[in-house]
Amino acid sequence: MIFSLAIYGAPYASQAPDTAYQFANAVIASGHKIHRIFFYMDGVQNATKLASPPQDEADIPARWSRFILDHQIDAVVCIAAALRRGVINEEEANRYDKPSSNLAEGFTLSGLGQLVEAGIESDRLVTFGY
Amino acid sequence: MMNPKSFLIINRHSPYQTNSAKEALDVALMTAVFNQKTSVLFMDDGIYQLLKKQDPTDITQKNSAATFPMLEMYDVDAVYVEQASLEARNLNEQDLLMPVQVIDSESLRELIENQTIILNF
Repeated sequence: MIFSLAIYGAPYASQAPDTAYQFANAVIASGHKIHRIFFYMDGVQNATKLASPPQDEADIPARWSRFILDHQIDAVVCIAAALRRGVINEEEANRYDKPSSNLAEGFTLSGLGQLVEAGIESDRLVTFGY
Repeated sequence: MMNPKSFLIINRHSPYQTNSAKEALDVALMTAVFNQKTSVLFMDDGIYQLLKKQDPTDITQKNSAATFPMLEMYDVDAVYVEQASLEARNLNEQDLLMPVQVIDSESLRELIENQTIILNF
């Protein structure tokens, strides 16, 4: 079966990204496919590479980045939701004249159409948070 | 082209408390752009999003209600409000800023049952 995930919750504020991570691993372990993981609303905070949690806590954003690269997942962060919350790649940082960027490796900034397309193309679209 | 899927966007939170009103509306409009079958449901505190008299300028927010007419522009006319949510808040259709279909709990059950994709906000 083809799954897509939509994640609305921020790490360390909501359980949603943790639950989604367990779910994503279970999808792969069961031999199913992930078409896309879409990060929306506060969920865009999962894509920062600057989070620095204490060593005895899971580094949730880094864990996503590894998962996405290891399994070659299409991980899309809603560009409008991300920019207003300070999650930004180098190209957008240049465009808006910001001093730095923080989008972690493996993530792509793109439009909300990618969420709808994921719903259309997948057998199941599973949302986390809200 | 595949048959369109049916998307139901459910709004359950009051406006301005979070950004969900705006970001849910953006999803609803985008499903319409993709020519899907779109329905929007307001229930619980979500019906406050539809109140006629809203003025969030004092809390430096944009009036999210101003964008609801966009639904009509994108031909999204399946807009529902749960009757029990209105009654529980002592509100009626005249308090709302746009025409909606008020539905009872039985029709609500059917509406949800008939969707392929449900997105909760």
